[in-house]
Amino acid sequence: MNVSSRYLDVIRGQRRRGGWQFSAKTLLAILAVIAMLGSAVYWWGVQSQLTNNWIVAAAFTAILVLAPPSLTSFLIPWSPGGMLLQRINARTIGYTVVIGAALYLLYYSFEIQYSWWAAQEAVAETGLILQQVIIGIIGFIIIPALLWTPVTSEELFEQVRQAHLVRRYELQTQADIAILRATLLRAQEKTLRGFANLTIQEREELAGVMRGLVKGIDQTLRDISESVRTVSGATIPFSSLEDNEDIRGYLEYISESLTESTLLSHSGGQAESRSVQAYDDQRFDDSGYEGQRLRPGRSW
Amino acid sequence: MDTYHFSTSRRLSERDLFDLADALALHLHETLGSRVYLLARADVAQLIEQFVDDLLIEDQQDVAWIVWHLFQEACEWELRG
Repeated sequence: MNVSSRYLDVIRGQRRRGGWQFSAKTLLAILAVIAMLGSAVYWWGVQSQLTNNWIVAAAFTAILVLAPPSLTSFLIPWSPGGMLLQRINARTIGYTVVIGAALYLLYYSFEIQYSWWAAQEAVAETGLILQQVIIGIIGFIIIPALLWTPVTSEELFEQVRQAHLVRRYELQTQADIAILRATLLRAQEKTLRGFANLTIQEREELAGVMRGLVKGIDQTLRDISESVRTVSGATIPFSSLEDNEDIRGYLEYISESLTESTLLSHSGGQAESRSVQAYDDQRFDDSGYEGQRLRPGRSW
Repeated sequence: MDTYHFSTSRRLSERDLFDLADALALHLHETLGSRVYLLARADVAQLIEQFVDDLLIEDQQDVAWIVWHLFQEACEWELRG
């Protein structure tokens, strides 16, 4: 409802005055901030030992603090919208790159932390290296990743809308192709029988099929053009096949040929109907079919 | 953009319908609290009947629909929050 409502304003006002609630997620957010500050201190300690160039060390620290949680957040969606987004993006190249980069950063973090904890005498003696590393990965990477949303709600909505349009376009195209295939098969079946053996209505139908096929291709191309314009905003120049003079000429020729033969068949109506009847009697007889189809001396 | 249609018949104008529905929604919410979110449209129609029985049947139905819709929107708002 677009019209503003006093009732809804009151409800929203009550909701805003409802106050702030301390939830487990809030606690997790506080923990994530603390963990990331700890992560920054930890990685600065490691990276500053590896190089004397403090700019490079700072850049690597920033990468190792921010990149693993942000990339991992794409892999562990925590909302129905996130799950849907993951399914939609699962087969894109970008998602494969994200998976690869996230896994490598997790591996790197694991290796460095393992070496670091192994160098701590107390931990090495008690054999708690792996446990410490896992806790470090949970705190430094998993908890921040759980709290970060890969995309905003608007971006999520847009991506889902695009995926829906693409799916709709695919189904639409499949349906169009199925209809065209059925029409073509029917036309083929009639052609195999031979034009001379077709009834007047069937000849007219065949002429219609020729035009219908071109129209169907036109319609599908127009739909594709429209779908692409809706999804990407880019306008694809569309030229109708029916507007093409050559194709229009061919269609008219076919149509005229069939119509002329129809007119001829009117003059020899008795013979024609006999031929059709004879064909109908033999159409299921395989041995006679070839002879019937290739029977010479029939003009149409 | 908010738009209104004005009536030239005996029916209520769109603005009047929304104002009436707003007032009735507020009244029912004050009386029943958040239980209004669970009401079916027929229940809403029954609850507001005494306030709208002098209106045309079509207007009565429209007001019931709008009140019910307002409750659903308020419910969605609460769930989102």
